[in-house]
Amino acid sequence: MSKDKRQLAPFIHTEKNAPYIYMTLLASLVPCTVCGIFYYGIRAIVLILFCMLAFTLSDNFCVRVTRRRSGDYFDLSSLVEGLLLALMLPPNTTLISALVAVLFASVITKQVFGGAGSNIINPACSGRLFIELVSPSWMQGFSYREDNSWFSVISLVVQGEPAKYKDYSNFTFSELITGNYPGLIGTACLACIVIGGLFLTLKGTMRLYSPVSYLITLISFYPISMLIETRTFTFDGFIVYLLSSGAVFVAVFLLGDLTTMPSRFTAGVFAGVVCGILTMATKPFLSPMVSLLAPVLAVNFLSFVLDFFSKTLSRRKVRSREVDLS
Amino acid sequence: MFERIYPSKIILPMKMHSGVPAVPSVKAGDYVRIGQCVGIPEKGTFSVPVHSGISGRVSEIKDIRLPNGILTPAVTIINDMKRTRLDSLRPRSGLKLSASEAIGIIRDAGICGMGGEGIPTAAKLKRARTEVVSDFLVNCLQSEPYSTSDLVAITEYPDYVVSGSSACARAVGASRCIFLISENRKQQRQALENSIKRIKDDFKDLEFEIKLFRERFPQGYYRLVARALYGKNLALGETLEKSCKAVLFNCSTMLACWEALSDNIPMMSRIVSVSGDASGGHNMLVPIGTPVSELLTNAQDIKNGSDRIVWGNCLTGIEITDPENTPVVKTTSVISVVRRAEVPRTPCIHCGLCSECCPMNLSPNTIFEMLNQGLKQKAAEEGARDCIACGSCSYVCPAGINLTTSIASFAGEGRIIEINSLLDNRGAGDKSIESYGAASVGEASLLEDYPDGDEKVSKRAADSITLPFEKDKEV
Amino acid sequence: MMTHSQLRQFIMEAVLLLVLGAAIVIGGNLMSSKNATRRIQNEYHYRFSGVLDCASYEKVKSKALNDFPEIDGVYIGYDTMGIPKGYVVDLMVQMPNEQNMAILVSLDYESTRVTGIALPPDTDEDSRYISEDAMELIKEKVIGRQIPITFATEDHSEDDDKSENYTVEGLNDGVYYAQRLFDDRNRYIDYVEMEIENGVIKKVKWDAFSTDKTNQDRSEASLKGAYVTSGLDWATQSYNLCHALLECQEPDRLAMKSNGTTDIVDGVTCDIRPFVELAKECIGNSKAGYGKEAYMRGLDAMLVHLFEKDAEELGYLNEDGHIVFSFEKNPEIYTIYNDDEVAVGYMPVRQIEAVINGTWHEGDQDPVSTPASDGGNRGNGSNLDYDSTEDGLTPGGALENQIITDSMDDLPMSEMASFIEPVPDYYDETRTVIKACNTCYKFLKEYLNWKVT
Repeated sequence: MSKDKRQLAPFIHTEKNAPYIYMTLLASLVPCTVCGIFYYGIRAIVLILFCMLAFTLSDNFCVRVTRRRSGDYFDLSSLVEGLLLALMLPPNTTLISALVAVLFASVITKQVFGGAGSNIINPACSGRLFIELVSPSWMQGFSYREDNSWFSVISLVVQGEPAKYKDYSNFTFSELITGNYPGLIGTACLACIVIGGLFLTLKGTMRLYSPVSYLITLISFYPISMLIETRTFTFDGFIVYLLSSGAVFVAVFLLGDLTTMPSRFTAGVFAGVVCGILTMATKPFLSPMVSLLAPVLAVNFLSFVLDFFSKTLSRRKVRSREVDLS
Repeated sequence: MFERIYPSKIILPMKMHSGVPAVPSVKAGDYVRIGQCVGIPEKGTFSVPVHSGISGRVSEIKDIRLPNGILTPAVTIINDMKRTRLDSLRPRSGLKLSASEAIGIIRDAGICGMGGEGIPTAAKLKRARTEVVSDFLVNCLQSEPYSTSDLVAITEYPDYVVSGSSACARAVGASRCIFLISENRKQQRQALENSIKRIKDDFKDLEFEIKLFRERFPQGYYRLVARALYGKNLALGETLEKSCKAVLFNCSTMLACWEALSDNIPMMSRIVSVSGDASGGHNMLVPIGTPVSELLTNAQDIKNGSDRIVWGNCLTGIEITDPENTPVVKTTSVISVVRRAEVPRTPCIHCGLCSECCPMNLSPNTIFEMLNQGLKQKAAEEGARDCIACGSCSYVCPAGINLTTSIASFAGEGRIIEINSLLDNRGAGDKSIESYGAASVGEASLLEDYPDGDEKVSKRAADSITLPFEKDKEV
Repeated sequence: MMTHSQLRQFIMEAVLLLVLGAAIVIGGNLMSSKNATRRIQNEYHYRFSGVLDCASYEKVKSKALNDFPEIDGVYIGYDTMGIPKGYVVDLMVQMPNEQNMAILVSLDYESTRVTGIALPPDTDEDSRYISEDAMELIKEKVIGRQIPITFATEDHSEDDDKSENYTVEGLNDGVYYAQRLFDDRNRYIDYVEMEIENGVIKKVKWDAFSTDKTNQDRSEASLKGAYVTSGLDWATQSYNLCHALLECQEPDRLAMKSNGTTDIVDGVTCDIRPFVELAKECIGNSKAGYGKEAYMRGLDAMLVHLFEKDAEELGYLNEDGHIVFSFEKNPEIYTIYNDDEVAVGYMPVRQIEAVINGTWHEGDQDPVSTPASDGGNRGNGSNLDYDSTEDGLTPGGALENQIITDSMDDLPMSEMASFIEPVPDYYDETRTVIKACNTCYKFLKEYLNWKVT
């Protein structure tokens, strides 16, 4: 290899560098953030800013402690993951539980594995799941927006109001699409999520294999799961589940992730299907959030192996799609 | 369209191809004319002659080092601007050539693969003839970013390209002549189609076909073509001829072949693109050996200064710092002028974009990691030696990691010909000359009857070819 | 790092997405809020129809709510015309056993009467601390009552409390009279005259004559401007108050506060303490069959006891036949002392007379009055001196029937508007419901005041 100072080929580089990818992700989350702030007011702003700040500080601290090279730019991945985590929280999460989630996500799932991009599992997802498992009572607040628009500072620190909203079936289709119903900060508005997803797809920072196959799997396995759970199946309930459970958010922003999901078509589709089946299989037995997020983590673990196998598959792949044989 | 360049001097390296360098047949002070041979291959070596594209006086002969690290003697000729041509540079009167005659003409014209590999075309044709190929593929896919020289050649001289291809196809005994072209290049496709219609009657034994390829890089590498057209994954060392009964040539090479066959013009000039994100894009017809600086001077919109000048395309080329003394060689299809852009360097973010874009379906990030840890054996198992050094992975890497350099240099350690000769392989460059004989055993037989000198063979042959049109090409 | 153009592009895109997101969210909200409102109304209806069936409900947003953490929400219910029908208060009350219970209370919009009580429909069975049966019984007691509510310790005489024509039981027909035994600062002696027919108070007169015989009565003086009170003139106030008593038949129901005023009788701002005391004395007299003549004789007897002469002889009779004399100087004759020689109350004339005549003794059963009420009356003469019991209830205690305790749920007893009996066997439950009602009252008081200012 050359010891020369000259730059080596290639001399042009795609615009899609790491900051670009992270900024695109940030931008794609903007609509969901707007939605959260619109419906949950200052409380949502405080939570979002807090999570992003805490994530950045924690990451920077870890990098400093481990003296790891973090690249020559400001690590935007912290901001992205902080925002992602905040959007998956209920609006009346306390700052303490949010902090626990951030620390778990940042230190355990991100920095221990080697910092930005080296994490095997999705930090935001694992952080969210962690607090859900550690203390479900912290996470119960799905309360209606009018109670959450304004807040007393103490309620941010000490306790969320555990006013759980059990049944979403009363909501109309238009409400579910526009996010006008109580839910997590950022996962409620389907339209916003879809816009984010479209933006990511246009910008090329999302792989559609997994999200699409995941959603298709969910759709096809939902009836079975429902029959196991309640012995009944209604089409309405099905639509409501799809729109209100945050599955689309998970599909777009967790399964569309570049870092933690398989990079090849076969593996991506396989991972999406596995994730969907796991979600549906665990749905009757676990709490909604756990059954939604745990499969994502499982698939994250899988993806490394999957990538390995799919490579062998695709090495044999015929490049016929390069040619127009007509 | 292209511009013509009349450089004030040319530097003709004796090695611009795969093989051993030619031996200079002139000495300082000699007067050379356009088309005159200035370098003759040594007898029995795998080489091609070198011709001058200008008339003038030889000022010096000395060793220079090409950007790709090859040390070769070079003949510098000062242009007298008189454009005196060799008398032999005239249309062949009758085009009745035997296959071996045609191949001989091509060999003597000093033609080598102009797409980048620089394998002597005559040798390749001969091998194809021995292997009895059925498909004669003409690579009209110029997929490298910013380079359009091949496309210009097609647009301007479609008949030359088609005739050259047909003639060569007949020479190797192929039954089908297939043009590979990108689906987006409608103009070129149209030109080819028209041209095929015109000369179809002259080559009734040939079947013409145009295959459309997606516009992407890289496309024209023979292993990719094999996979795309024949669905075969060529292992290292397998050849297109053996496995697919096909042979692949660059369209510019075919153009040069037809020039040699019909007009008796040796390979002494070529079309070079001068383009890049710092340039509007020019195509220039330049004598081989023209210093890069002459090209840059003629490209008005290039400001001297901070831009990077790349010898070759900007994905696989080599940056040059001394355009005054760096010549355009036979394999140079493009001089890229690109802005200096800082690429953010970060640790790998495991996005998998490199695996996604790798034309050989490798996992560059995994291989890179293995090479970094010194696990060469594992890297080889991962298929690292399949790397074709296209540069795609480095291009897409969001973290700005130099994957290509690392992997391609590893891949290049074990083989010489297969690696893109334009890549920075200075370390392997000298070795390539010495070890060539061993690496090209299969082709040694082709060289046995390699003739000396620049004597033009113009015998009539059984499979005669009629000139379908008048040429007006001037050098 | 990113180039400037890249950064600019990114910011542009982010702003674009921001606008797009905002447009979608706001537009979506506008589009779907109709549904949301309808659904919220449905939800409200589902929750509140048990207590107040209205066409629409609106949540009250008030700072006053901050002081009532136990109140989850207050809603105003409207009928289809948009006219307010009443309040629904959704609150948590602490049961005596320290458990919290959610309860819904609905109140009439105008009159602060309880119109409904229910447990929220989605209350789990486990947290239903009040059984359905108990709830029904409690509802019977409470619905229709004005808040605040307290327990009446009265016996069976108040059992048919809910009937519209409420009367104090055991009244004997006739004209009864009572006057104060001492004059006030303006040297007036208050008196109340009451006419009872068929056990119903038919006529009440409250006035005062001056100890200075030359002066006019207080009502006359007030009409002429010689006696000035705040608010309306005293004569009108007196008339209003008497009228109110005719309606409610029971002085305690006038909701006299500890400072001697009342809120519930319109146009009465003066101190009604003398009236309430005297009216009670009249009622007591009626129960005892102690008519006006007897009363006058009683007074005469007191005078004879003190001065050995009757009123006529002493010249204390005015032209209206009232005995114009203040026993101010001889408090020992009518004051009840406790063991520490501290005055704790006043004896009615009837009692004084009996004492003078030596016919009074503890536990004596007056043959005319009901044993319980009379026994209590005699046994605890301190009824007028507001005793403070913890929450207005002393179950099983042999206290006098008209006992008024100082406070209930931090509300002064005098502010109480309704008195009910605990549902037998469900004392705690009734108490909890009352607490809920009183919390509503406290909130409304603060909320409406706050709204006025």
